[in-house]
Amino acid sequence: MIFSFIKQFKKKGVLGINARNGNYLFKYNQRRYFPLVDDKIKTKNLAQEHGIAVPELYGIIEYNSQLSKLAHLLAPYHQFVIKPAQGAGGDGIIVITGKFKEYFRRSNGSLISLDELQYHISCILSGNYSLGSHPDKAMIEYCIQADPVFEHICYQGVPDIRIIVLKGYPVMAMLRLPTRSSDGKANLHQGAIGVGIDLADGITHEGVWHDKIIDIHPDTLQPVANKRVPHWQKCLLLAAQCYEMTHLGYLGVDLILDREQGPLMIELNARPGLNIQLANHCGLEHKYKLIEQQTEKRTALERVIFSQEHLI
Amino acid sequence: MIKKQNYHITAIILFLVLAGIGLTAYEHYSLHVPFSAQEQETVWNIEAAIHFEPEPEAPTKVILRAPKTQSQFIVLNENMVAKDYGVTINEKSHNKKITWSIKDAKGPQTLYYRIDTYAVNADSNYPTLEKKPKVSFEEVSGAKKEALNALLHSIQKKSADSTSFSSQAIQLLNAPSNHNSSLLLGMSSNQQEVIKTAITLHGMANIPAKFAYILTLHNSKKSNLELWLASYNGNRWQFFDPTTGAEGLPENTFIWAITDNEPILEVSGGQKATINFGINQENLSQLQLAEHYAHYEKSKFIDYSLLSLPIHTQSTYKVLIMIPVGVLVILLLRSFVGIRTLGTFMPVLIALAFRETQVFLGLLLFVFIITIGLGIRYYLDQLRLLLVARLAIILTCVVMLMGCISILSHKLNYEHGLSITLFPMVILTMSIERVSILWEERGATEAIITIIGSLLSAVLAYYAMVNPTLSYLFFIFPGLTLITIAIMLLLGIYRGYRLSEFIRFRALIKESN
Repeated sequence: MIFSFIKQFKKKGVLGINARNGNYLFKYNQRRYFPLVDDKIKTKNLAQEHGIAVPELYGIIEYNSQLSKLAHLLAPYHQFVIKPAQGAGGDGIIVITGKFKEYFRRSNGSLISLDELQYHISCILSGNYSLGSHPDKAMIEYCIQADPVFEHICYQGVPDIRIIVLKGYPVMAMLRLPTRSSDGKANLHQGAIGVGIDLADGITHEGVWHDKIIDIHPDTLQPVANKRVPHWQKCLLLAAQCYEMTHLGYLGVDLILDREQGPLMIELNARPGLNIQLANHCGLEHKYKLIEQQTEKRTALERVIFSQEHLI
Repeated sequence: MIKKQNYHITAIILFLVLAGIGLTAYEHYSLHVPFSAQEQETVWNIEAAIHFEPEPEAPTKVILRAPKTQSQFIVLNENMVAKDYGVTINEKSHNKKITWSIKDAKGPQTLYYRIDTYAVNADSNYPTLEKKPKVSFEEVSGAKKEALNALLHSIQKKSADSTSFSSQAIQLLNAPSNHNSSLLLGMSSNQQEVIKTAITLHGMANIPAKFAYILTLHNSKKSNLELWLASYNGNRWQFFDPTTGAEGLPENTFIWAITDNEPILEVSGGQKATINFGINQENLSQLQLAEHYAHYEKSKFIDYSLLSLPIHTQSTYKVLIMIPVGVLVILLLRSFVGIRTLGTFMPVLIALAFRETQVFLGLLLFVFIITIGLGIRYYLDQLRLLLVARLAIILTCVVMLMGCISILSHKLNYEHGLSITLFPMVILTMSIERVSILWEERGATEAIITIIGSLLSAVLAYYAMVNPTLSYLFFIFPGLTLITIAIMLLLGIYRGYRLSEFIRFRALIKESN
């Protein structure tokens, strides 16, 4: 039985964790470049240098002593996001969508006091959410105004787009939709829906939720397929450009579509997960093999076009 | 690049496997270290006691011919008790020639010579030192020579090879009706004379022959050497019963020495010299045997192995050397099966604690402490403490909890509960922290799956680590640890699927069916 599984998996080109680590991660991602993407502040600075659109940074909190000035720092903004600079998997992110008297309103509707916010930031600083519990920094940034195109297939939170980029070529993409069970977060293992996106035209397929294939959103009951992602070419180009910026050959690029600013790069991942295969009903391995054969030097735009023509 | 690296790794793996097998084979075959600790071997302690009365005012010299390691028997230990005597040992011939000397001994003297020996392969032959042993015998003349020639003639007529020659010679010499034999041996049927005459006959026929002194191995306080005839058939020594002429030694026979006419014991400057043997059977585990043997052979290998450490350090290493095995189990579970655990090697440390607490109690205690710890962690969360302070408080609570369990179980006369102290507190604390973050961030299901995965791997690692056969093998054969590294390397280049991925990605192949 196992052998028949292996055969079918191989035929489908399913990529396993061992193969991802051994054949791609170690090969294309040099460890010395990891800090560039593990620290979101560094990523943001680097992106701005390379002209890649990112959400505006409002402030950085590095020390507990700065917390006393938090109220002052937050005063001008009604909406903002607090996230750990070295957080992994969307942990420790708080999205504030409004203020009510002295309270802040979170994206899930609950209220949080300044005191609680300070405690959360101090937890971030002591490394609660960072890999290996290293002391961390908290960043406060622009809260993205989600593009209304996904309004009906999204329960709270903001959907984001994950694009896998190998050697600068976009390989596969998915739309990640928060659900009630993901608590507004767009991470698949937290219960978000992954929806495959056609590289050529940016149109969504069916989705996957908790390892099961679904075609409607479990909370809004709206079909998730056949939605066109706006600014699709721009999204792909943005993702492809991240290769030159980070020198990382194997990247997961996370984008969010802002109503006014269009696609913004919010996070890079040097160890992108494999669930995207489920979302696209397609294995990654065959596509990687094709990309690996490309020796010609191409610009980001040329790579996007190549991918759109050859990776269907 | 990957290809090249794979060759490199393959080379290392091959090297490690070969080195591992080589070391293990060397220990097993050359040093006779057994593959199982339970095997018992019979070791014979043979003690030769030499008594004599020294002649007054004269220097005394005692020569004893003693055995060397033979192919059937290995001499493990050799001791001598001969106070005030000077000793020289000559090992040039088949036997070991031990010479004790003293200038002026008073009163009856007793010297002891003791060896421990055990049979290795009963089928092998007595060693031959030269390609063809020399033929040596005493020339005689006159009537005796005539008789010898006549005997030789009739033996040669009846025999086809050296084996039948020896048998025939003994039978003829023992036949009372044969007048040639009577002439040569006189009326006495002294076995020494029979063998001596037989050796002369062999010499005349150009067949090497010697006296063989043999000892029957059985528990006894007083045993004596028996004299047999040894003759060389062209490629090995054969032994003949001096009364029947039958070839072949009985079972459990130890060849003390083979000599040309020299006696086993020579005493000059002394009289009434006697030698007798005490034989004692002892059962030793093969490992003890191997240690003795290695010590005797002066093998540097065992001298520098873990066996050379003091006993209490050895027992620590008996635990430590098994950790790689536990780690290998975790490695298999993680990269083959895809089980998720709290921290990479945390299950191994939990498994180490299980050694003392037993599995069931250990699991119970672990779950209990983690549950209580999570409760405390949840409460502390409300207090909004800094990370390190919170960890310190949880650690302290864990210690107190362990104390309470110990006191309670002691009061209830349940001494097993005391072993809880062996749980690594820091590991417990970190586990509590990790579980609680998992619980918060990924939900209860994920947290419980991870705990179950960790405990399952810990239990499996525990059973691998306490397996007596495995722990014996890994402790005694360092080569196996090299092979473990080779397996780890192999797993390190394994790029195939994990079992859990068949479940995770099953939707991908369902659709195509």
